[in-house]
Amino acid sequence: MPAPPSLSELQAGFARAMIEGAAPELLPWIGARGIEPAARLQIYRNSILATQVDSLLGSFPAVERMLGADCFDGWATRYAAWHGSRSGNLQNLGDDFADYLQAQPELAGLTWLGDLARLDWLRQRTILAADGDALDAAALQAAFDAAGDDPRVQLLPCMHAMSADFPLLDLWRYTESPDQLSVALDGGAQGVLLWREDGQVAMQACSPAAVAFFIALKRSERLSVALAAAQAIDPDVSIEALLGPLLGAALISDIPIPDCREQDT
Amino acid sequence: MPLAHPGCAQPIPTAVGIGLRPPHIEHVLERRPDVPFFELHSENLFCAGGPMWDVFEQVRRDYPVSLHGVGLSLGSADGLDPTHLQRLREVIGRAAPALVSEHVCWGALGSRHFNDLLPLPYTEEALSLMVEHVDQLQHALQRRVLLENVSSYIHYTHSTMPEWEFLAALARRSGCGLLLDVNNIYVNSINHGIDAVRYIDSIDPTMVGEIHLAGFSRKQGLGGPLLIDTHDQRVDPAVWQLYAHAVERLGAKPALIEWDQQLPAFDVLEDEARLATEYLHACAAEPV
Repeated sequence: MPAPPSLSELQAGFARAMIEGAAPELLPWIGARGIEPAARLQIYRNSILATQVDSLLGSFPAVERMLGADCFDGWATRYAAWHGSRSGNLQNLGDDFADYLQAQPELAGLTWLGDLARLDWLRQRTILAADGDALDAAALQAAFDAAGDDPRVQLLPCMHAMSADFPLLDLWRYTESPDQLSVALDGGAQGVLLWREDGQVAMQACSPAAVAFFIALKRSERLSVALAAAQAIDPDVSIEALLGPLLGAALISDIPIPDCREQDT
Repeated sequence: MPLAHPGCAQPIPTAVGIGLRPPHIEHVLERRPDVPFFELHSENLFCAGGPMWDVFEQVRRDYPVSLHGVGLSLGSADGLDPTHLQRLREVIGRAAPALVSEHVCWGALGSRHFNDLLPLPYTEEALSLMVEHVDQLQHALQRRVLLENVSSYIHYTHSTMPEWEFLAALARRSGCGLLLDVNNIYVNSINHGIDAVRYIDSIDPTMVGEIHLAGFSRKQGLGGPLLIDTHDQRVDPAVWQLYAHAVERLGAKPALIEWDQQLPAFDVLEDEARLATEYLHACAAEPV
C-alpha cells in the first residue's frame, strides 16, 4: 500500500475527478461500503454541475427562453464543465458565458445570441451594483455651473449600457412575451441603457452613439471626449440629446469640480 | 474573542429560526411572521448594493439575523481566497449579524471553485490547516465564528480520527464554536456507518452555538445505503429523534430549519420550526 496522499495531493486528485471525470489514484483512499468509490465521486460531480447550471439559469433568463430549457441546460453544463467557477460567490459565475456561446460553431447561426447573453449579464450587474444618490435638478444645475466648461459627469454605479447591430432590447422583450410581441432582427442597430429603479432593472432603447457617450462618461472621460466618441458614430448628435436620457432617469450622481492641478493641465 | 458583534441589533435567542431564501422574502417583509430569528447566506450580500441589501436591512430591523457562509473553502490546501475573505470581512462589518458561521470543508483549489461543501480527510494535517485558516478568519472578522459539520458521501480510509474528534479538536485549538447540523450527523451515520448518538455524546456542549435541521433524500440503486443532504423536504423522523437526544445532551441551543430546494410555502417551514420548538421547550432555556 503506498503512502496516503497529502491534503494537496488528495484535493488535486478530487479536482481532477470533478473536472475530467476520473482520478484513479484517489480511488484506493475512498471507503466503499457497498458503493463504488467512483460512483461516490460522481455524486459530487453531478451536484457541482447542477449547482452551477442552476446559477447560470438564474443569470441568463432571456438566453434560456430563446434556446429552450433542454438546449440551455446542455450549453450551460458544457460551459460549467469547461470553464468552471472562479469564485466562491456564484454571483460571479458566467462573466464570459456570452463569449463562450458566441464562439461555439454549432451556435454560429444564432448571431444575436452573444449580445443577448451580454444583456442578461449586464442586467445582473445592474441589480448587484452599489447604491448611490442622484443629484436633483437644482443640485445638478448648480454642479454644472460650478464645474466649468468641460466637466466629468459621474453616473450612478447601477448605470450600464451596450449596443448591438440588431434590435437587442426588442429581442429581450420579445423573449418575455413571444405570443404578444414580434421582433425584426434586421431592424438595425440598437443601444440599451440600463439602470436600477425601485429594486428592479429598468431598460430603455437608445442610439449606439448614446451608448458610446454613456460608456465614455462611465470611464470618467470629460464631456468633450464623451461627445466626440458619440459623434464618431453619429456626427449630428447633440449634447442635449445625449444627456437627455441621463437627466430623465436621474442617473447623474455628481459633477465634481476639477482640482487646481487638473485645471492647469 | 466575542461571538456576537458589539454593534449587532439583536442577539440570537435560544429558539428555532428559519433560513430565509429569496422566494420567501416578499412574504416575510409583508407579513412579518413570528419567527425568532432568520439566517441568510453571507454570499447573498456579496453585492455592493441593491435589493438584497435593502431586504437585509429591513429584516435586520425586526429580527435577529445570523449570516451563514458557504463559499470560503476553509479547508483548501492552497490557502484562503483573499478576495473572498476580504469581501466577507466587508459584509460582516456592514451587516453586523448576531452570529457568523461557515463550514468544515473545502471547495476550491487554485482558481477553480466547485461551489460545494467537499469533505476533508480527518487527519492531523487537515486539522492543522483548518486551525490555521479559522485563526485567519477570526482574526480578519475580529470575532468568533461557528463552524458546521458537513454531510458527506465519501469517507477517506486514511482518516486517523473520527469526525467528532476532528470537530472538537478544531474548536479547542482555534477557539471557534460549533454549529452542529444534526441532519448531517444522521446522513453521515448512514453513509459511513458511524454511531450518531456517540457522535453527539462526544461533543462538549459548551462548544455548540447553534444547531441546524434539514431534510434529506434517499439515493437508490447504488448497491448500498446513501442519503443525500438535499434540503428539499421535511426533517426525517429519525433526525427528529436524534435532535431530541441532542437537546437532552447539549442543552437548549438556537436551532434553525434549513430548506434550500423545492421550497414549499413559508408556513411549512414555520410548522417545522414549531416542531423543533416543542423539543426545545423540553429543555431549560440557556442564554447564548
